[in-house]
Amino acid sequence: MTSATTAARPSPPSGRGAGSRASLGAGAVLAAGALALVALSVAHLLQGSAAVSVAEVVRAALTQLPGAPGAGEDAAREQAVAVLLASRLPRLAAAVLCGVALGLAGTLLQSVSRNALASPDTVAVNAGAYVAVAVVAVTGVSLPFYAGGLVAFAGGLAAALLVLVVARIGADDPVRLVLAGSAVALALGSLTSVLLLLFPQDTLGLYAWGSGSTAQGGPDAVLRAAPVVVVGALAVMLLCQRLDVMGLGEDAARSLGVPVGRTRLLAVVGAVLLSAVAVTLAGPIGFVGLCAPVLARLLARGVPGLAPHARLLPLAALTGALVVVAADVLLRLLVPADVAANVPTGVVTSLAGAVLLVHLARRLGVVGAGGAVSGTVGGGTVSSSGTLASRRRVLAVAAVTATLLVATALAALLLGERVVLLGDVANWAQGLAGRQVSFALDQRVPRVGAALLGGACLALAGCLVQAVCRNPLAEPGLLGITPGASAGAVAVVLLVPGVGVWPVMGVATAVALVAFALVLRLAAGRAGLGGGLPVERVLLVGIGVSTAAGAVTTLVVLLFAPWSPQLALTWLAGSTWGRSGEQLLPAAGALLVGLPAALLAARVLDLLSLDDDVPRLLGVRLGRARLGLLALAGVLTAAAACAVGALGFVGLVAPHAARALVGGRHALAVPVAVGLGALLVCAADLLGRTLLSPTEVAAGLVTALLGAPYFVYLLRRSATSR
Amino acid sequence: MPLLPPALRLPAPRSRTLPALAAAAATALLLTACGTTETTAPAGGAETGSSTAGGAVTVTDERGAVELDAPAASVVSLEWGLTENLLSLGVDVVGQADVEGYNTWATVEPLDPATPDVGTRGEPSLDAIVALDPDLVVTTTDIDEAVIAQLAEQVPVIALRGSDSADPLGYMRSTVETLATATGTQDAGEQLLTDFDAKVADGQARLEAAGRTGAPFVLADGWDDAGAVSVRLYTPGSFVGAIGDELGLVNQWTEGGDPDYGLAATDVEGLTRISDPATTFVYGANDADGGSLFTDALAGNAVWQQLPFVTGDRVRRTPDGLWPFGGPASGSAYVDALVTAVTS
Repeated sequence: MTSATTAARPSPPSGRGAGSRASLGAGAVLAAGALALVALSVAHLLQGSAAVSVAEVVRAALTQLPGAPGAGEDAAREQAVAVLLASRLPRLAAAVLCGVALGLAGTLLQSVSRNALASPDTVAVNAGAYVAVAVVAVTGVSLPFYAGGLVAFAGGLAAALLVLVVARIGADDPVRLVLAGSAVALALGSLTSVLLLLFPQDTLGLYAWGSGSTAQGGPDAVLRAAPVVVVGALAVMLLCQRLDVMGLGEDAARSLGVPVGRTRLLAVVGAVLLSAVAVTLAGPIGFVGLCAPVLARLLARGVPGLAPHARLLPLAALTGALVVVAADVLLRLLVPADVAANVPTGVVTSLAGAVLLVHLARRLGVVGAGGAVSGTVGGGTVSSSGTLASRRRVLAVAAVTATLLVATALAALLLGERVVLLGDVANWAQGLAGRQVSFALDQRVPRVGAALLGGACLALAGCLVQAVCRNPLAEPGLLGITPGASAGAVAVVLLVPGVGVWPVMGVATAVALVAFALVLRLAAGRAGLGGGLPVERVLLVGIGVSTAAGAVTTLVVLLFAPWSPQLALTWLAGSTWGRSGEQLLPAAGALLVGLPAALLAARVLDLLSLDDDVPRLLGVRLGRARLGLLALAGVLTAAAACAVGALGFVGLVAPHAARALVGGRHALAVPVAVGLGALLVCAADLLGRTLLSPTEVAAGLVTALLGAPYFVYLLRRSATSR
Repeated sequence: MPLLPPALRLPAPRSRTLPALAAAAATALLLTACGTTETTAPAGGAETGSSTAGGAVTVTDERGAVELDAPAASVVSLEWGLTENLLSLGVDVVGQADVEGYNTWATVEPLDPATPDVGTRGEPSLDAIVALDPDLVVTTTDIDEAVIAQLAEQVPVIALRGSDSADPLGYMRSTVETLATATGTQDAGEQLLTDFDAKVADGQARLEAAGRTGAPFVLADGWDDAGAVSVRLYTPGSFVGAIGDELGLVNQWTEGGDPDYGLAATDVEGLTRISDPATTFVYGANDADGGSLFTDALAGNAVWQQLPFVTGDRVRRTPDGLWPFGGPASGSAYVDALVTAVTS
């Protein structure tokens, strides 16, 4: 700074004193963090499934020090040393390295996108790395460590760039980034699931990648990863000054001569490299890249000396290591060591991250990443290009949708391993069909019904959620309902063997609605539910609760049924397999009530999707309307979960397509969306059943694969239209 | 005649070909969908001419009583252990879930590779099962109850547990007896169980002759989880562990088994809890799965190298293709494998 500027502003009362105090404060915090890490590491080393006592481990460690008295010929001590060196030190080193890498990556992403919610998970880096590794494994090539890391890096970079480009990095809309990232991650995850299903022999050993565990078979992987992490960390430290300046804002940074675009690209590449190394070493450990930077920034707000990136980055690295090691220690404290060997660390970090995300969301507007997290939803209007559709066009669209729907439903009824024809269906309806035909139709009709009703309910719920949240990227599955239903269903099915259909559905619906009520309660905060529901908070809290429910489901499956997960997978896959007529009743009832209600409320929906003031001016009670419509969406989604399990993307894509075809008026768009949703899921179920028969691909995977490219196209279009 | 102003120019006639083509295609598709596929006149309930030898049969499975009009001749099996039992009894298996997997992992009773595949063991295709028109479907209770109920409405379904860790061998016997009664092969079933008992007695005698009665052992398999090895141990509650008990061997891993299959999990570090240095470490592997995990992937692991059975060279591999959740056929093969491993 020149003397002119220092003269223009009054200098702070104790200039140099404050600076050195800040440094002292920063140093103290870093030292305290390092001490905590050492303490946790010692605890980490003492935990494990070997029956080696603390005293033996300590003795073995001491004998390794140079100058110590020579180790005795005691075999037990040799074994203790071997356990320590071959099993626990690599595990600890992997935990620390992953924590450091993910902490740095998260901080970089948050700094360049000025979004407190950016992290390797939310920009789909892990999903991209996973699918790249799976694709290579399918070709039959087995890769050594560095080549595998390179493949993971390439995949992660492609996914991250896709998300960051379509979500318009740097814009003041943190929610958009999270939504885009979670949608892309969902699509890539489905692609990976399909590959694992189709090529089980080639992809053996990749199932654990979905989890993220620090367990190591030896020191090799850690020794190879360590140089990459160290080099990467040093390289990103070179960006510190530029990142500090970029925190002032894009324009200010440009005017100060910082090459913003290039810095962003370098930061993203660095972040993806670090994440790729972490993923190659230990699989995707979720949410560390979100927790560590947020905790670091919270500390930095209390201690001013930590704000510049030169100190923030090491602090974030330290915090990341602390989070992962603490998660491991906590897991082994709560769960017996043998079982803990199979429970991935990612489950604990996901639970912790979900709690942190909820906390963050409630303080929206206070915690920032150099830029304030906006308090309003900046998602733009929900309607499409804005032209009114003519009556002829609307009728044409309705006719075509109805015809396609009938045709697809008929095709789904007729096609399968046992092809039937319309005459057979007529016979079956009259009870005159032969045994084969009646059996085939008996189990096919509920499946087709489930697909149609589930798709319709999800599309309707999607319309409601998108109108209320005023964000075209919102999806009913993000409100915590579907993962809650899955968690409830899986828990009941695994804990109570041989339970019937009604108890499972009842518990699933109950847990789903409880999860939804929790989301609404947490999002409303102290103002209560009537005082206007801040919609982006609802979305973020919903994502947090969804993640927590997913982690709980994984934990339940691993603890209670590690050898027979099929019962759980049927619910989680989004499939119509084995559906009976009773499971359709909730969805049918919800649709019968929900569709007329939504049509009656079409005008309210139109007003809600404009902004906050117009409805108030026109006499609509904002809080009550939002609450009522969201509650209806919740009930519809829970009913759809009973019918088709955890099916994604329909609630996102169908309303969009409807609005693109017939315009933004909900009186027209809602029925068309319902028809399109039913059509999409029915077609996905048909394709999944018949393409690779007798192997069945779950309808949820097909909708994700079909819906993802369309969703990316949507994002691009809405990004360029502003 | 003056030219019409542009605003009043008549619009070009709308193309009618596309909707017409679409309508024609739709009609054509609809016409192909008409008709029926059943060649015989649909009567109320087709019969398969099974009212021959043997009258009605009732068996009890995990869900209750199952009634068959006659002993089943053609059976679809949805789990490998049950298939093995059926083949040992000489029953015709007309459909199987994951035929290729069966012929890789459970080869003691081989199945004709041309047998129709009805899908994966976790999610078999009900359509495919129906298309085969079986007399009976046998499955384990690992499949969703609602699905079993659906199947049971049309085809008799016998649902048994995969195993029972309270008494695995007793459950094996009751499984064989249930299947034998349902298929009218009671004589073959009795012979099968008698042969198995004789095999066990023979194994006990061989162990005594070699002076190895009461020898310590563990049976394990495992897989490579992207670098970390997971080990699965067979406690005395498992089928194979119970066979080891019958032979008089002492299983060194007794805790942590699940209530169905008696399996316990740990990692390589946990194997250090096996303290008896004379323990024989018996493991199962399959070349189709990438070969022997315990000798290849763990060869460089320092913890593995320190284990007493590794330093004492008491690591033995069982032959490929023995199914540890099977019936008397696999059981007899395991008797041989365990005796060979412990006495060699």
